[in-house]
Amino acid sequence: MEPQSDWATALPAPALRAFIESYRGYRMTGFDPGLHRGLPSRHLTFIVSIGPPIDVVAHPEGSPTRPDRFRCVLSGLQPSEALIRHTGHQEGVAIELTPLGCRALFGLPTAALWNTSIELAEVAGRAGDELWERLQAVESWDARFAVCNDVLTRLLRDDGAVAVTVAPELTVAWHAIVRSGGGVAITDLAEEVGWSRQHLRRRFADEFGLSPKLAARIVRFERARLMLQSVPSFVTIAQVAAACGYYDQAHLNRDFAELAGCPPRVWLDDEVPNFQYDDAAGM
Amino acid sequence: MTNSNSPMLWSVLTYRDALAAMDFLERAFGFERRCCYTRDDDPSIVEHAELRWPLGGGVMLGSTGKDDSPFGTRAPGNDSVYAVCEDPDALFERATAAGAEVVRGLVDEDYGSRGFSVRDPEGNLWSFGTYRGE
Repeated sequence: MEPQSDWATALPAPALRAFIESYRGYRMTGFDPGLHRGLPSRHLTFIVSIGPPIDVVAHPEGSPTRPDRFRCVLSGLQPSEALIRHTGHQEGVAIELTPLGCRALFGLPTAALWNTSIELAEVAGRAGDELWERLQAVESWDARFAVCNDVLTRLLRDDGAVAVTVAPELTVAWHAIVRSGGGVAITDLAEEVGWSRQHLRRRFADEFGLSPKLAARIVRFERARLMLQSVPSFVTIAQVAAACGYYDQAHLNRDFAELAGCPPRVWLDDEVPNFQYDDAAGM
Repeated sequence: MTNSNSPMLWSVLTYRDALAAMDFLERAFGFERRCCYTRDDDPSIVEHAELRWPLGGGVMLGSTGKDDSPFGTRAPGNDSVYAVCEDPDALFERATAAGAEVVRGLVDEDYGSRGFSVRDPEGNLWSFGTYRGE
């Protein structure tokens, strides 16, 4: 069968936009079976499978989670790559949940899921099952995204029983890291929010699970990865490194080795033919 | 929104002042900026940028001298691009108001096309017309 891929993206309902950047639907059929690398990102991993489950054969180093199959996987931020085995047919909706939305949807700080993967129902209960079940039953991307809006909007908490918002200082810090493409100096960040570096580092890790420095590194890495996959091949990896704030190409290569487990060229060769977003360049 | 409407052919241009060129292409001709990756420690250098032509297609561009590759060392100002437009008179007015140098004014060709040619600030030729190709 000829390999086919189909992508669709959409913004979530307005009530969800502070927490979810976008929905990305994907359907890939007719590819060779293989391994997909799930990479560190500024988003939590939140993927609802349609059809075959998500077969995570290796979690990032240090993860307490054992290899497992997930109907709807939810993972916190992560320090390196996970490996997902696929049969050549993959279909689902990836929900780009930011660390600012974990409390609002699940009543948990993102740190509670650091480097950990769970089945959505473990934190969302019946709604986790409902999201999966209803997505199996509709065909069009519009209908699928509407199901996500419906279920996730109902999950939004307003009961006051748990802190559902991230502290304003940490919200500012997170936005500053993302907006700067990971280029902001942590000293400047501490100054901007009015905390000492040590206090920022501790509170940041309590909320998000990682240090501001690692968060900035992951944001820069993700920007480089998105640029790599969305520019033509005559744009060199050295140019990507220069645009994303790496000292040089060797520096970018080192980050790829640590965060993706492979060199950029290998990642491109393995993933990009079946992984092209039309609008990734907009980042 | 899916990936099915991407142009399959792009011109790739080089500019001394790529940021100014992008502003000009947007202002004078109505190109739409889709991405612009500048060098982190020198934002005046554009590593890669893409602009779409509203009727379809687009151009990619970068700064000259950005590296030693054949792409980085091309002499700027020698390119010639033709784009289909629907209202050449309005576009001519817009382009010249933005400072495009007229190379060939509005003219009706005997094969039924109406169009014009102008030079951008770095010397590249831009032609616009209603002719859509054979």
